[in-house]
Amino acid sequence: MNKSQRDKNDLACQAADEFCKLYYECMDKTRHLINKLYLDSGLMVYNGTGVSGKDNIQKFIAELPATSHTISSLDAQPISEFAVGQQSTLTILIAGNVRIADRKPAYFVQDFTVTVHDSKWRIVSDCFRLQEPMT
Amino acid sequence: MPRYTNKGKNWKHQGHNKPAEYYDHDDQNRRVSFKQNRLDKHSRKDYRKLKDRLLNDDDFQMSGEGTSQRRGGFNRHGKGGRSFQGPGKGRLENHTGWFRALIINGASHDKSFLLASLKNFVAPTELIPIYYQIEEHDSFFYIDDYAAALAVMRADKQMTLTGDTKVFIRVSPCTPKVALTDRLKEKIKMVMVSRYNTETKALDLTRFHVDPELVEDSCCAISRPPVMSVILEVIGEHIPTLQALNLDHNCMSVTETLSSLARRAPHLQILYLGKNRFTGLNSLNIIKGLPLIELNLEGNILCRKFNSKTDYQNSVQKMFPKLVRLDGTDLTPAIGFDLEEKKVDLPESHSSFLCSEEGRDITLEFVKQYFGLYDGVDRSGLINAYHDTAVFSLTTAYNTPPTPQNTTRLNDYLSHNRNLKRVNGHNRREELIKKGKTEISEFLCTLPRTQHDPASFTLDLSIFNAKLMLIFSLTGVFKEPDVKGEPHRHFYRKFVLLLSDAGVAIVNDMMHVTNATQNQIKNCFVAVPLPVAAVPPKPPVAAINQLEVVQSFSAQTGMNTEWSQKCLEETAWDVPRSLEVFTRLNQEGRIPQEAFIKI
Repeated sequence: MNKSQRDKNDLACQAADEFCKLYYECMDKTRHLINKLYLDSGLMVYNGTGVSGKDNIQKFIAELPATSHTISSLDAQPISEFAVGQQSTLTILIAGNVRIADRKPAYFVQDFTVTVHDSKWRIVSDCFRLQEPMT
Repeated sequence: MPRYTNKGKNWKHQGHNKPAEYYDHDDQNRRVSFKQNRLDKHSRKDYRKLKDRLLNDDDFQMSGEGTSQRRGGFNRHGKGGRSFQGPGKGRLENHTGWFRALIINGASHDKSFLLASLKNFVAPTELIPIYYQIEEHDSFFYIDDYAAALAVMRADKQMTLTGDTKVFIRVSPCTPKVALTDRLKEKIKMVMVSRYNTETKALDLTRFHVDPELVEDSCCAISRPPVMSVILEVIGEHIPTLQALNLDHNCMSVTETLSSLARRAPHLQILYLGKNRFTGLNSLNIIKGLPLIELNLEGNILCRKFNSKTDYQNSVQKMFPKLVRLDGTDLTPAIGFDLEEKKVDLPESHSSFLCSEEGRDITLEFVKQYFGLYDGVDRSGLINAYHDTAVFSLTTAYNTPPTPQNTTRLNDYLSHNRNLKRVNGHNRREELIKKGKTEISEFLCTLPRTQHDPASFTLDLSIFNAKLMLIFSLTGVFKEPDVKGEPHRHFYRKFVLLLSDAGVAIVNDMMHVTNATQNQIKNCFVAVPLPVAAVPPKPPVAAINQLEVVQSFSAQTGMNTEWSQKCLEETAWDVPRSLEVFTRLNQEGRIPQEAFIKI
């Protein structure tokens, strides 16, 4: 693998680390700002329910019960140029526990596809899945 | 700085002049009753001293009130009146509310004569002997009442049977053993049926274990978790519309066993937990927030732990905001804030999301082929699924903190874990990305052999561009048949696929593995298709029979005909499989209420 690919991998790790902190901080504490992290046409899939458009996503997230996330795992890769051309895009995979309202913490995995828009990383799509549906 | 110490405090608390109200029970009083319980540890001499001090103290009267009602029973029926007896005779520790009375040489007596004599001897105290059994020469039975246990204890060497034989009886506190056989489960169900009122949707399980159907040959203590779990299962399966449940007088001290109550009986409005052994409101934490409108806690020690009745009512109302009636008294509605009614409902979970219908077939076909190869003995064929420049990385984490005893280890995955939260070195991070189709397929071959359960899969297709690429995520359960203990894992996989006329190729592949939960283990691989040769294909059910099949299925499941038909259609009218699917989904609570509404 050439050097530039290695640099891209490094960059992906760095961006993912920052992104992870920002996203869950925003999700848990400042939900009214979460639309800023999505592309205008972004998509969120929450346990199989899809919501598209950053404002709809913000509205959807605002309606969710209070959450508190603890992250235990994070990984990131730059998405292949064959798929996205020169448009820098990352795939990020995060896992951890989330406390929803006052229930017991539940394990979740969430993946993000994040791309650069106006010199900022923005979410193209994300999928969130609890390990088990909550009853 | 002065240190707070208990030593200087006079626990008798002289000069304490509060009126001895029912709810009045401050720390000092509690301490008195606490000491009483621990008196067994004192020598008899110390004890006598203490007794003298207690009897000279006006507060003692109050402490007597403050201890459990069973103590009150003792004062009423006990022969010694207020001067209760020493640690040897006439005292019983009382932790579970259950006692075991052992009759020495009981086997030589006629059961009914012995029990009748005993009942007669302890009168007016009522005695219900539970599950009388012979054990070699002796016999024993259970007692669920402190006063009765004490009275039986007093019969030791005092009661005589024919021929002036004295009967030796030992009474001790116990935790009843319940052998939950299929027969007993069936009996529990029958008794529940007889105690259920279909009109009011009320189930009365007051002092369940003394039901004539149960008392003779079982000690069916609801306070024992296995019994309660059978009861809740029956409720969930047969009477999910239950509105009122009476669990009075069942020696319950914790509500952990009721954790699935909200799920099994979502319409429950009235709950009776009176005359049990709840010592504090925190023992109700598990059922906190149930939308109850009526609750009965009378006769529990916790009722006396408040400064006033209002304090008690307010505290209970805080735990159950919808409550309008407590212990038979109407409550003034609590005035709260809108914000307090926390929204706890999540949007309903769906097993798949497709951003494009067009992408469905190609994704499903890919999943089928990929995991077909992945579950095979040799994964090297997967090389063809990957692009020359593909990358793969794996992360893993325990979903609950691992303990040496009870956690299945994730060791096979941990050594390749590219968790950026743990792996910091640039070189190591780089090494852990598998690059190119050869390296990836070789690596996949080193992971334990797997068997995935397609029924557990969820699939979210988030990006689809017919001419270029698609991105989807897949979760589910797999097991490792070759690994000791056949561990079950939960996985999350994210793929980026290139689409071209030549076919599909993976360019990015991310995998996360953790242990499956107990629930997942229980519910996966239930619909294992039998080997094709073993079952001859069923002839399709003729349309004329379908109505009958639907009706019988509806009668079995309690679902209405429309949903019954839906369910049957999905399994191509395979009734046993439909039942299997129904049972599983129903257990998981995934069947909507409307399915059970019959018009």
